[in-house]
Amino acid sequence: MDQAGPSRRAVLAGAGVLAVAACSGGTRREAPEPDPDLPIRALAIDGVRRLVDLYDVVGRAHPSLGPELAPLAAETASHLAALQQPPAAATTSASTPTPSPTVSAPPTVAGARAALARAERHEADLRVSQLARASASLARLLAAIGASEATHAVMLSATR
Amino acid sequence: MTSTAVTATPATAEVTALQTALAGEHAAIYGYGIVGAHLRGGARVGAETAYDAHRARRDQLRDLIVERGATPVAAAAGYRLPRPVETATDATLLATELEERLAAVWLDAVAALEGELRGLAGRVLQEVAVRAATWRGGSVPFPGLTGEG
Repeated sequence: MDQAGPSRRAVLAGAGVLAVAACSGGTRREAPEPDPDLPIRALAIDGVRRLVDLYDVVGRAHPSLGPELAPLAAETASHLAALQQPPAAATTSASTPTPSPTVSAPPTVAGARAALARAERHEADLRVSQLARASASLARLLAAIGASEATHAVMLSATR
Repeated sequence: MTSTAVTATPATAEVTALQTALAGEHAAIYGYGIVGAHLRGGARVGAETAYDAHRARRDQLRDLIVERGATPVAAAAGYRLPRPVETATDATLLATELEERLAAVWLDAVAALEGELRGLAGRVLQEVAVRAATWRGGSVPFPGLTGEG
């Protein structure tokens, strides 16, 4: 009757944080349909590609950062792959990948790390701003990517 | 085919998603009480900071739920820990798991909520993921996304 009251599901989910493996309930099947997510997905792809390019350029300019950057760059590459996964997004996207010839690496290692941290933080903010216009399933992916980007930003900002 | 009779109304779905997140925060608060008791120094401070953050989030969720005319779910009387916590290492591992499982809860909230509340869930997920990475000592590609990445 009290439909707004604490639901059994909510209580179980709370226990899930501590008891058994969390059962992620958001992966309900979604029927294939003309993809209304295409524009927002394309935006996210552009953003993540900017990060991929920046990691690439910085990694070349500052090989000493390699060990630190490699796992972060790999995760960023996996973000791009996940966003491009539906064939529709890869093939029907009208926007050709914008080459980013303007990306350049800051001259110092500290500067390069700071630039990457800023870029990751910026993209993490963009991911949040993109959530409202996305379908539930794309929103999950965007939010997870944003959370990873936020983590990268903090790791890159950590004092060494 | 067009019937949505068995699905929740948007308002109910929203409250349910908020209640689920609140229940997760309750559990995390309980867990951090144990985590903090087993840590010293900077790690202890980190646990206390996280504890406070989860309490603040709990309060915010309660307000959001009350604003929607519902009664916020209460904390459970007790929670089962995945394993005994006796050492600082155990405590760090528990803290990591708390945040990781909470990440899954908040990612579900992202999918279940809309508009500004979805944005809030996305921001909370980022904070949760950062804390998880701090305890873990490394990042993961898709925080909260279980069974993928």
